Formats: sequence, structure tokens, C-alpha cells
Amino acid sequence: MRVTQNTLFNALRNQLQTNAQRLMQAQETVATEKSFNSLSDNPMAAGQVLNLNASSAQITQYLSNIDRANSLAGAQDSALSQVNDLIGSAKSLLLAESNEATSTSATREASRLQIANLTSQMTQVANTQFDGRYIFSGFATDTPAFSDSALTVTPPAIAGRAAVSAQQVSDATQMTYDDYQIQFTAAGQFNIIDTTSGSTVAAGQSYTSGTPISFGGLTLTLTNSPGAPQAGDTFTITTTAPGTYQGDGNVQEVEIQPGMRTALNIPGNSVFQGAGASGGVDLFSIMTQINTAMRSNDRTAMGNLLDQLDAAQTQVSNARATVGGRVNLLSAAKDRQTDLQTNLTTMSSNLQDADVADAMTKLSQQQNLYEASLAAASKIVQPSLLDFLK
Amino acid sequence: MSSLFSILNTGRQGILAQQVALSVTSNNIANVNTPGYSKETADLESLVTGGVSVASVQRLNDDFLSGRLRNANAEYGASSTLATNLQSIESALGDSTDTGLSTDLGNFFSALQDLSQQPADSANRESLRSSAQQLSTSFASLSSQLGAIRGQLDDQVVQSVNQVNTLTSQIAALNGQITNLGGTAAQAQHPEMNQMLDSRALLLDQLSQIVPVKAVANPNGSMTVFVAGQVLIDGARQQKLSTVVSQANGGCHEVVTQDCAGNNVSLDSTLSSGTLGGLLQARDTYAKDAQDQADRISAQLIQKFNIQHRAGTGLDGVSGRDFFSGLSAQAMPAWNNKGGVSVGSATITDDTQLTFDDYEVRFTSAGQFNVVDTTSGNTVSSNNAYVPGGSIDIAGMRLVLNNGSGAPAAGDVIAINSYAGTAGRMDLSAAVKASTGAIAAGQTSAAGDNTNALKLADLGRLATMGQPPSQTFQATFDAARLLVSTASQNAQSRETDSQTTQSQIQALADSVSGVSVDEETTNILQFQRGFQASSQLISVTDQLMQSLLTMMTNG
Repeated sequence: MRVTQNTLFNALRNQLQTNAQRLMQAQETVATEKSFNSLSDNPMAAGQVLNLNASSAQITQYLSNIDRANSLAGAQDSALSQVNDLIGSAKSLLLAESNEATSTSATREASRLQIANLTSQMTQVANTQFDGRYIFSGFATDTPAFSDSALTVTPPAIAGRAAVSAQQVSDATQMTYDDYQIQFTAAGQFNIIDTTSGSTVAAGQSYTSGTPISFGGLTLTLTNSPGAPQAGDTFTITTTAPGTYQGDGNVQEVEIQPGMRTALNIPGNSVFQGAGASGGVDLFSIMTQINTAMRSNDRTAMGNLLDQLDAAQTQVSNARATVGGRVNLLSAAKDRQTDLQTNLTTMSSNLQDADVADAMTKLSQQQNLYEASLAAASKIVQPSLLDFLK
Repeated sequence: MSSLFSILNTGRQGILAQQVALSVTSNNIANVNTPGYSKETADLESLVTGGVSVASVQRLNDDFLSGRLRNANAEYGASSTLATNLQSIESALGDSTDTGLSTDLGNFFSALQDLSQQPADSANRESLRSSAQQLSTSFASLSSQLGAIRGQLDDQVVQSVNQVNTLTSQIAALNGQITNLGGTAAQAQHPEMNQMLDSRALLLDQLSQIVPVKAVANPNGSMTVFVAGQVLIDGARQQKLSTVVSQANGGCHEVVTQDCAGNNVSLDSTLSSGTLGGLLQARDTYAKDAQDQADRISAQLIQKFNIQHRAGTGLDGVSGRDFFSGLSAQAMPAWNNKGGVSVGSATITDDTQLTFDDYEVRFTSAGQFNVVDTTSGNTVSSNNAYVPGGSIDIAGMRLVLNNGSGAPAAGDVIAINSYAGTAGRMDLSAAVKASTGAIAAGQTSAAGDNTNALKLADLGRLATMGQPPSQTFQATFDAARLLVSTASQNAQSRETDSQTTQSQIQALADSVSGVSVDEETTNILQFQRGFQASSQLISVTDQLMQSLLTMMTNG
């Protein structure tokens, strides 16, 4: 084949260009330590890396969900453990007072006060919050799970006379959970009647507008508005014991693995009130009944309630066991997902990372090649016939 | 019978012939680096009556190699254009493995999972809203980058067509000149034709880089040039290419020529190589498909997400709200409609019925049309009566057509779909922008109700894309990226291969018609010696004649 200067120069240009390109690629590999820098360098590997990275990101999210579920489970377990201890204290008080030999009206009154105290504490624990949300309320996480003791006052139907300006439970331990009536016998006098038991709590009390009236752990204030109450005016007071469930029975779930969910909570009505299970007991109702039984020294009732307290304790323990089981499940899931993520990261790294030693060798190889082609070029370019003619 | 005068004559012829040969050699040397120059040789011919003459100055060229070189040019033009443009399309789609739209999709569904941990928490809701905003922005940015790439490619298409027209007019003019001189048969008498032939060959080479041409030499010296089966140059007549805006193709230009019957024929799908072919392929296959895929993914995401979101309730107790906005129907008349029908409006009436297939309203006559689903190939309905201003309901969309500049003609087509441009329009709904409380995380408005958030999160994990659903959104997008990346890799290796082929054929062509300085230098010596020998002969003959004359004078 006849070779002209053009052919030589063209070939030279192409070869230098090719070598320069290869040198640049080798440099890029060493600088980034990645065997491919854009997807088109190696689409097959890139496709796999994309999948691996997406799966790994998903796992990171699942691990976060698992951590959340774990934290909630911890809070629930701690609360349930406290409740168990409180039930234990209630049991020993009840045991002491149901023993005819050691129980006196003084000890009973002291125990009754402690029972009321324990009830109050149980309500607080049942209304535990985690991260600003009530943990035993089901979906209604912005509402406390259980209500406290409360009172409602209904004024007489006739307006323009005294109104209720303040009402509150001042001392829950004194409450009898009976209903009352304030009956005005004359313009400035009233009686306080316990309508549930029928007894008179206080008679012939004198009325001053704006002065608080206290009885049975309740305090309310009546004020003239504008007129004063007349004879025959009646204010009805109803009281509610603590332990009305204000949440719902829903279970919150999160995903801890593709397609697998775990519960985040236990609804308060199932743990504390036995809802949805046969043979369940209502702990708060039991505590209210103990209060009443101690007040009236009903020893038969107390014996009965002792058995019910046992049942309540079992109920709470079972709930603790459920939470414990969930923690085990979460722990296993976390280990599994963490291992999986490590594998995915390793595989992705194997596909994408360049072997640095290999890359450096290639780089120096390409450099030598480039220098050699430059040297060869300079040799080709020089001689032509014109140099030799004289 | 030779006399001294005939020897003198022979000497004179020898000098002249060597002189011509030297001038041919000097022309070759002067043009050693001229692109497209074919080496010339002086054909020295011995005369019957004695002596030598230059029969012709021959241009050395292999037409067969020229044809092969043109093919190689076209192939290289196409693959290098594709390689460059596929890299920018790939870049727009995101060329790293851990950032970009794909990651934003993953983050969005992760934010939904976070929301399920604490649905009423305002920080989680805010985080979901901002990751949704980020996703919308990513889609919009992708859409605008791809749109910009298509726009640039379109500009280059128009420029290329102009270049083609310039080249073809020059070639046609040369054809005319060559034919006027008498064609290749008259080459001996008209040595200037060599330069015209060289120019024409060079122009054809340049043309072949842009469009794949087939050139046929005619006996009268002109070359007839075809492109994709259509005549481009016929003798001195040039067939101009033109460009027509096609709305159905996103406002890009169709490359149009006229066939023998005078009908407009689009070359878009038949130009398979040359830079113009590469540009069209990059613009209409790769960039368009990438844009369509992005649009379809965002449209399906918006549709499915909104349907599930409407089933849930916000913190304020209100349900039935959309989360995203941006769905809209697009209707476009074809570029070569003969009638005057125009689009009045195209709206979405029921987003739960949308299929995201491409539909066409095809007029069979001025008053009747069929509706065809071009994605599946099914005819949705046929022989519908056309009423200007009437509503045509197709799969959740409503189309209203008017007789804009006249009634429709048989064969007119209006394309309609519900996904085009969605990626650019995707945004949060006004309700969600106003307040994160509008996000429907639960079935009810209870603070801890996360059941809807879990269902929304499932949309990312499960195969939700496609009819029937077969892939997740993220997987669909990654598949689109890999398609472009694989094509890009192929284009790059094609480019390298075709460049090698082009170089090899160029080297072969050079071996026939290239100028070798060494060879020409040798020729200089050769003709110099020949000239010197002839002039020596003349000088000797002159001396002989003088001796003769002296002899005659003295005797």
C-alpha cells in the first residue's frame, strides 16, 4: 500500500489522541478510586449498584423504625413494671385490712387514704407520655388514656341567682365518689346532703357569696349572679371515680421489614381494663371498690377484691410479656437487617470501588505508553527525501 | 526518415513534455496538504510520428473507495453525535449512583415511614412536605434539562438542514459546470475539470458526514445523489430539505423533503446515519423517551398517591384532599394534517380512569373519527360522529375539538395523552402547601392514626408502576437511566470503531490519490533529468546544424 505523508500524520494524530484518552481514564480511576464514574462506563455493574443502594437505603429506614418501636417498648415495659409494683402495694394493704384481728377503724382509714393515693399514682402511670404522646391511648395519642377523679356541678334551673364560679377536686384521697346536693333552706343557709348514702354531711351552713365550700375532698365556690340563692335552690354534684378510658382500642404499627409490621403500642383499655379478652378485670374499678369496701369495712368484699387484684396483676404481667416478646422480635429483626445491610454495602463497594494498586499500575503503564508514542512520533516526523538531496 | 530538424522537433517536444510533467509535479507538491486534492499525473504518450506528448493530465481517484469513505463518514458522524448527546442525556438523568431523582424518590418514601412512627408530629409532617417538594423540584429540573437538550438538538437539526441545503446547491452548481464542459469524456481537453471534480468530491464528503448519501455517476459527468431513498441532487437541480414544526413531537422540527409526486415526506425516521441521523435519534428516541418516562413516572405517582391520600383524613378531620398537583391532559394535532381542525380544550375529568397510554383521534372523513390507543394498538371506539365543540371522552380525559381553520379532512390525526409535561408541572397541592395538617396520615383524624401513612409508604415499596403494575417507581426510573447508559456505552464503542474504519478507508484512499512528498521529489529529479537530456539534445543538434551550415558556407 502506498503511504503518503497525510497517511502518516493522520495515523500519528489518531494514536496520540487514543493514548491521551486512555491516560485520562487511568488518571480518573486513580483520583476517584471508583472503577466507573458514570453509568455508561459500566452499565451492568451500575444497574446492580443502583439496586443495592436503594435496598440499603430502605434498610436504614427500617432500622430507624425498629429503634422507634424499641424505645416505645422500653417506655411501656417500665410503666407496666411500675403498675405491677403499685398493685403489689395495694394487695398488702388490702390483706392487712381484711384480717379481722389487726384491722381497726383507724388502720382502715389510713389504708383507705393510701389506696386512694395508689389509685392516683396508677392513673399517672397509665397516662405516661413518650416524646409528648400518651402511650396507652391507642390512636388518640394527644388525649390522656385515663381520666382522673372529677366532679360535675349542675346549678338550679332558675337563672339570675347564684352561679358556680369555681369547682375542683381538692383532695382525691378524701373522695367518697358519692353524689351530693347543696340544698338552700333559706336565703343565707344551706345543707350538704350525700344523696348516695342519704346522710347529711353538713347542716345549717351559712352562705357567703364567693367563699369556697369544701367537703368530701371537693371544693366549689358559689357567687351571686347577680341575685343570691333562695330557699329551695338545689345544686347537684356528681362525682366520677378515676379510670374512665378516653383513648381508643387501635394498635399503631410500623414496618420493620418489607411487608412485615410490628405493633408500637398496647391500648390502655386492654391492659388496665381487660377489654377484648374474656375474664379481664378493670383495675381502676377494683381500686374504687377497695376504697368503698374499706370505708364500710365490708370484709367479704375485701376478700373478693383480693382475688381480683391477683387477676389484675396477671393481666399486667401478661401485657409485659407481650411487650417483651416484641422486644425480642425487634432485636432479631435489627440483627438481620444490619447484617443484610453490611452485605449489600460490601457488594456495592466491590462493584464500584477500584483496586488502588491495580489502578496505579495501569496509570504508570499508560503514562509510559503515552511517552513512548510521543517519542516514536518525533522520530517519524523528521526525515524526508528533501533532507538528503543536495 | 529522420532529419536534423525532426530531431530538433523531438527535442523540443521532449522539453515541453517534461515541462508539463514538472508543472503537474509542482501542482501536486503545492497541494500536498489541500483537503480533497487528488494527485495528478501527466500521461506521457509516445507519438507515432516520433516524439512525446502529454496525452492528458490524469486525476487519480478510486470512485469505489470514495463511496466507501462516504459511508464510513456517515457512520462516524452518527455515532459521534450520539455518543456526545447520550452523555448529556445521561448527565441530566443523573450520572452518579447516590444522588439525583432516584435518591429523592427513596427519601420521599422514607419520610412517609418516619411519619408513620409519629403521625401527628409537626416535625415529621414538615419533613415529609419538604421531601415531597424536593422530589417535585427534582422532576421539574430533570424535565427542564431534558427539554433544553431537546431544544438544542432541534436547533442543531435545523442548522444541519441548512448546511445540507448549502452543500447540495454547491454540488448541483458543479454538476452543471462539469456537464457544460462536456463531462468526464472531455477531461483531456479541459484539465480544469480535475479541480471541479475534486471540489465536488470534497463537498460530497462533507455532505456524507451530515446525511447518509448514495451517489451515482452519470455518463454526462453529473452525479445523482439520493438520501434515504429520496432524490437530493439531480444534475444541476437541487431538492431542498425543509423543516416543519410538529406539535405532536413537542414543538420540534420534522425534516421534510418532497417526493416525485410533490407530497411532503418526513425523513425523521428514515435517516439512519450521518450527524443529522444521530441528532434525530438522540432527539426523538433517547431524549424524548427519557422525558416521556419521567413524565409517566411523575404522572402515575401523582395519580396513585392522590387516590390513596384522598381516602385518608387530615388532622382537621377533612378527607378527600389531593397531596400533589400537576396532572393535565395534552392534545396535539399532527404536523401534516390537511384539514383545519384545532384543539379547543383537553382536560382530565376523572383521574382514577387515567391509563397514561397514548391515544389518537383519527378522522376517517370530515364527520367521523375513530379513537385508537396507540400504546396497546387497540381501537377504543370507531365511527364516532364528529361535532365541532362537542366533548369526546377518552379514559378519564375530555377533548373538545373545533373547526379552527376549517373542517377536518380524512386522515387527520389529533394525539392526546394524560402524561406529557407532568414532570415539569409536578407540585404540592395548595392545601398541603398551606398547612402540614392537611396531610392525611390516618384513616381518622386521631393523633396516633398512621394507617394511611403506612398505605402511602407501601406505594413506594410495591410494584405500582405500569398497567398492570409491574415495577416500583424507583426501579422504573433506574431502568430508564440504564437504558440511556447502555446506549451511551454502545455509542462510544461504535464511535471508536467507526473512527478506526474511517481512518483505514481514508488511508486506502490516500494510497490511491494522496500526494507523497518523497515520490514527487523523485519525480522532480526524474523530469529534471529528462528536461536536461532533451535540452542537451537540442544543444547538440544545434551544433550539428551549425557544423553543417559552416560546411555549406565554406564549400
